[in-house]
Amino acid sequence: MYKILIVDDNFENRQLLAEILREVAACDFAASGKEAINAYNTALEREEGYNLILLDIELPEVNGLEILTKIRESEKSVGIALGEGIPIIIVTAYEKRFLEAYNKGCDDYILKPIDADELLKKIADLLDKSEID
Amino acid sequence: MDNNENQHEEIYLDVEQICSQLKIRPVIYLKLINSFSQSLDGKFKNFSHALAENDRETMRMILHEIKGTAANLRLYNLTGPETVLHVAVKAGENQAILTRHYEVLRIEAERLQKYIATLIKDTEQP
Repeated sequence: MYKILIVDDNFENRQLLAEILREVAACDFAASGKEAINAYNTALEREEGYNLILLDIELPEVNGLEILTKIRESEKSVGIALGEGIPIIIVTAYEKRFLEAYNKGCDDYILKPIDADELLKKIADLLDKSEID
Repeated sequence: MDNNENQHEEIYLDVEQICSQLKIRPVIYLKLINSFSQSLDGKFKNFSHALAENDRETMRMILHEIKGTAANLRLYNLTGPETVLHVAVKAGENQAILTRHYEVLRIEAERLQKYIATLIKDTEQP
């Protein structure tokens, strides 16, 4: 089982993603940017870091792109190069924000409404786990 | 499709097909649509307040959440009226126009809430 952090401010969206992933990952949840940063840091401190993060862009207080930036800066500060850090998939309804997200270091994106096959495929590609397909 | 046309469309959710497509269990899907349906009253209360205050950012955030969740759960009857209102909010339309579009969305949401309540009730019957 992989460990995935789902960051979305909507309860139903978080639960839906976790249900789609139930056979491949144990999921933790964050409903805001601050919760996401806390969960990420806490997992690292406990040396139980996440295998992947699913990150919504539109979040209260700290948005998804700011979280992405913080995580990549944190990785850079400990010598982790761009492309070698934790895989982050942006989950968004905003097609126009892909480029911005890529520039800030996301690994992939998925558009809402969620396509389960596409989501599982993208996660499998990033985690190199072909049996997810 | 315009809003009036949308209002007269029959709501039907093919739970089996949606769950197969989403790769989720029907019991979970029903819980999620029920939860979303029950959350709509609170969202609309907040939207009404934002509308009265002409707080465009809050209106936009609430509509964005409704749109994303409704689409994820394949509750497509809300997406048409939501889009019309969302565009009007972003375009800076006046209160009267926003109120009219909002009323259309609310009516459509009420129809969906009734449909989901019946669906849940039918599912629970032995």
